[in-house]
Amino acid sequence: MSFRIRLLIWTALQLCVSASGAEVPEHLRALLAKNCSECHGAKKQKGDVRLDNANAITPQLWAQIYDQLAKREMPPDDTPQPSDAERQGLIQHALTIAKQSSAIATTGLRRLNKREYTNTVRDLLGLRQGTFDPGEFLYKDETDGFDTEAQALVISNELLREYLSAASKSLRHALFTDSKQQPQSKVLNVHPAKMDGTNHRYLTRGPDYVIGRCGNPKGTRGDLLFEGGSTRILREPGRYKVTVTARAVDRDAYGLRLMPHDGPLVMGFGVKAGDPDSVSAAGKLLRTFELQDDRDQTFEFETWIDKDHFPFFAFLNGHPKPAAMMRGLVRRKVIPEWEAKKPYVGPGIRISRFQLEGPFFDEWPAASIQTTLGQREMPDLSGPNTRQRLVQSFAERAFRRPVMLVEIEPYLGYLDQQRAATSNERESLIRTFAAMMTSPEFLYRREGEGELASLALADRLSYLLWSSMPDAGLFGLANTGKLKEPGMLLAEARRYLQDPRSQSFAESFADQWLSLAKLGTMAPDLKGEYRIYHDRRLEPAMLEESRRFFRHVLQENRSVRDFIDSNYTFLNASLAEHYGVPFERSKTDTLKTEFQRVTLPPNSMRGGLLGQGSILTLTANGVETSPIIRGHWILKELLGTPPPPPPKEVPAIAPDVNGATTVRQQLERHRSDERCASCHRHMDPLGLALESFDPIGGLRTRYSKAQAVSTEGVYKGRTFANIQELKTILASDLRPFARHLVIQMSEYAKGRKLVPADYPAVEALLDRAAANDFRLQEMLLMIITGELMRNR
Amino acid sequence: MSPAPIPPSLPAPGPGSVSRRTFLRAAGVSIALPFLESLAGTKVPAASPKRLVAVCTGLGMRPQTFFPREFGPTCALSPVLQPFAALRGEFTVISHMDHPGIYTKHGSTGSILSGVDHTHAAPGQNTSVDQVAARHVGYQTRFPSVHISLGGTEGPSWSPSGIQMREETSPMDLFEKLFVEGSAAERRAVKARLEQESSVLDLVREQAKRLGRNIHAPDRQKLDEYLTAIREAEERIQGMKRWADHPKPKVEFDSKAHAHSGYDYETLSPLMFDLLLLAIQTDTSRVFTAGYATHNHVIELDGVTTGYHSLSHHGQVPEKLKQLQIIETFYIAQLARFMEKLKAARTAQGSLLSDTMIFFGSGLSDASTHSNRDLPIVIAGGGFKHLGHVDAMRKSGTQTPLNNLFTTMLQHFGVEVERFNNATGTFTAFHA
Repeated sequence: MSFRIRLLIWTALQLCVSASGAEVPEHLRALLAKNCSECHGAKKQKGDVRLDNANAITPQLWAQIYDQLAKREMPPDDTPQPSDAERQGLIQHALTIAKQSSAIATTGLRRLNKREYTNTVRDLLGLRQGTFDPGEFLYKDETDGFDTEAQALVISNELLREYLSAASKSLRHALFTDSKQQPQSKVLNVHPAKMDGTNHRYLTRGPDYVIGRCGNPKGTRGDLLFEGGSTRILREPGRYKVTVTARAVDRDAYGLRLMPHDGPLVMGFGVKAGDPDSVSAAGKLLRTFELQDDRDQTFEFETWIDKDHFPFFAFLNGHPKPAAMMRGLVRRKVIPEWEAKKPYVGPGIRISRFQLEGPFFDEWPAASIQTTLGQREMPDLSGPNTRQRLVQSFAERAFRRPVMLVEIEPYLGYLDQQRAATSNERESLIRTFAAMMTSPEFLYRREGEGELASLALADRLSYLLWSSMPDAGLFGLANTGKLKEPGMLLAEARRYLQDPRSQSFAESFADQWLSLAKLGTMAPDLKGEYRIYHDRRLEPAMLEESRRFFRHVLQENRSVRDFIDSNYTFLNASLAEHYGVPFERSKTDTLKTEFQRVTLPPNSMRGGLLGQGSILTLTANGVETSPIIRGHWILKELLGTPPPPPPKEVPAIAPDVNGATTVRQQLERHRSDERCASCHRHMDPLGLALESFDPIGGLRTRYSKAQAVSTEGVYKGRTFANIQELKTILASDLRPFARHLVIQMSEYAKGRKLVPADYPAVEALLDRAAANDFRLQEMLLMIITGELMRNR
Repeated sequence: MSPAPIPPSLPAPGPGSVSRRTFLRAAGVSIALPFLESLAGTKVPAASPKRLVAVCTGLGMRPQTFFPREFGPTCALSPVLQPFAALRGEFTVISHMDHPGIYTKHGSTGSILSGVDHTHAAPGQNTSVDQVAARHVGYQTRFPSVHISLGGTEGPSWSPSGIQMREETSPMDLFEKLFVEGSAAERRAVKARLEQESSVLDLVREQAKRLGRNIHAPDRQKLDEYLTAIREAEERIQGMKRWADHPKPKVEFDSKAHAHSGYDYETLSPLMFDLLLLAIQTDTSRVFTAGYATHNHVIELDGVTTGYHSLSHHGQVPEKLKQLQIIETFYIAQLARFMEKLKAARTAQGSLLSDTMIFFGSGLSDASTHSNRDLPIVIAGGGFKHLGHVDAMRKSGTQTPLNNLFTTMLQHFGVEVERFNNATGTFTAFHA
């Protein structure tokens, strides 16, 4: 996403364009002479840039001038600044030249990325957002920047084969039967004594009950689940009624209160894939129940279970490693050794009844069958006209465009071949549809050149906001050309944003813009100083905080100022505790996982993205913090002004914690090297301001007994004492920040990097957005209805 | 997950024979494995083919304890290299070699075998050295290449299309993949599936060609990518079909042994290396990668109590340095153990070790400063004339590109290549 790459594209385009544009007006020439030519003139040519002969400035150099001015990078903050009007004058001139002399880049067919593929398959086949994940086996997309970037979304033989197998598998889920008869729902009583756990060591079986004693905090993987034996896999997807009778037992075994130390035992219920190779074999936790000590309670609920999946129970707040805990207790002489040698009888969940009833369907044929086949009744597949109709209507939805009969003839031929080979109508239909879902027409979006055609525009809108194919309403408008009527695109965009599926944009854009996926790649030591990161499950909470925060700013159409500073955030009890923010936990929130919008106390160090645990953790390495890395993150991701990479011969700073030098002293030494100073002058103070947060975002005032944290610094010529004051400085000039966000959102939508010819549209948009305090949803809608969205 | 079935035709160990399990109990982790000669049902190729094994670590090797202080065949070994003591003449440690363009800190673990930063690579420009070799072998063996995780997963192997190769993490699964024959019905199902895949590819290729008739240039470029993918997928399917009828080699391996966690390196590494050895002996594949990845879990070795990544940021604290050295010495000890077994396996030409080029290295050198310079590199076996410790610093005062070494290795492997990725030449310090 760097400026250098953009410059490369730009330079490539410029090779054939003549050196200078139009005559530069006199007042701009004077301005360049006054503010720039001291460093970029006859005497000095910093960065090999010379601006004293304005008429000789090449278009590519004008693009650089624009970039530096728009980002407020030049002139440097310690030199006299031009007035706003002067700055704008130069920017306008640079943009005029950009528009005249650069072509819009086209990137070619856009392959569906992993997320888009998964969502599209779900929508195409009417699959519920259950445990089954259609894209689970797909290779991860290797992109530099957003996962929507067309150029980087290559295809390979490996991926192609995975697409084929993912399509077949998904179709088998969707068309799980061709019976006209709704499957009979049955009652299945699982005998508790026959229930199985993956870790037998901590299971106790009685004549009519089973006790599981091993905790599993995530309820998703590991050896701590109750499962229903080998016949447990359910072959028909549908709603099932679950009845379970359970209680907590042995709370005070060994005369001690073992984990959980307070509150009730919590039982989790979830669904897991029967195929152990499946990624979703990890399981998905769906419900939690608080149990009473030594008193049975019966719970009844309905749940959706996918085909080839099975239900499980987990002990969510028990000790995950009872043997290790017992060894510790023996070592500390809390319990005698002989007692630890006997089978473990610590706290556990006792289940004495487990009944499943189902499947139930809201309608028949089931929703996935109706959606996939595009009709309300189960068709008779032996009729040739029926088959032709099914293939044609599936092609229209899969290819997201009207399809002529002649185009689907090869598929009809293939269907006939498969019928002859398998003599199974359903199987041959699955194979044919799977082939269609492997064709380029399904896997790629075609946007053409210039202004987008109606159908391509619908596709772009839908993939931007839902990361999925257009729904019937949008498709209809596009197909009839109505989408291009005045106001229609805006109305559709609003409708799309109101739909819960727009969460897909909020999450994937926020995740990628803020590089939230990095969270967890450098996690702290499980047993080290920052173990609460794991023990209190802070990582998922941090991720959730940032996502909710972004969603809130978007949905409530808040100013982008909130990203820099806000007096609210979203926390659960664990995270609030970690932050030291007052939090009122609801009575039912035993696991401390429920989120709330929290108003921050005045003078809180939190607020904005820079107070969030996610950002502070992903910019550290789980062991120590580095002001350089955090400073770099602010410049690059938040402000869009990445410093150039370090000179290659300069060695990195090697920390020696035995010595007495502070981080600040080390950085100062580093900055005394002139090659480092020009960038670190900006980077270091930003990072040092965040030194009041440890590697997992907890507050600190000292590194050690001997070393206190100091956060003061200077940014853009203004001094600050701490992070709060720095945020005030950052929030005082929102335009560069808003500009960066607009560019990011546009690039996400367009699937390509912006080039200088796109920048006039960006500036025009910002001019309008400035009048209303740069509100996020408003800016997104401006992108959608403006030329950034409508043009390739 | 159910344990892999033992191949039915394998005779159960009788009273007179020592089962591998018994041996395992008696000798800790050292495992007796049958030599090539004793394997039933395997064909020994006439001329011993070349093999390539790349072993990589995620968090470098601390230079101060890795590099010997002197150069030459008889140089005193560094503390971490002590396990190589009995293998003089079989390895070369190389100083002053790295990937010149790589400054990606932790990101470099992904480019150790390619010298290319995969996050910025254009399609088709990020192939790792093992995959070039694998493509050369193709389906002459059942698997063109095999990729093993020895802890954590983030392999440095990249297919010619820029896809990160997946690693086998469980010895059981790897055993099953390499040596356990499916039932007749399963094999028929595999063949039928491959046939069906072929027929779908035929169909969609025609559709893609039709689509290509009226399409503008950038779109066509993407469509060509798709057509290439189809062609390559077909080649792959043909290769797999050839092997579908061919029985897998039968080997003796205790499929019950298992590591109790992914960080139980002491159990996991020997198991994986033994499977790798069996795969070489049975010529199931000729190209392998194996990796100890980056993570911050406590590696289960005696004396290690702190997370691996935390140890790499030792801040010169003596206790942390001590633990880091235990881990790094373990890596070398595992490599030495593997080399000794290869050396003991006789072939017509000598030993398997002289047919097997082993590369050991890491994308980081000193992980505490995230340095990507002067990478820790060992090259062993392969029939090279080994030199103990060589200095690859060039007359110009710059390090030799690691891809020069890879070019030499590929040429030795039989691949006609002048320069692998961004190599500037070959590495001529040793020659076979």
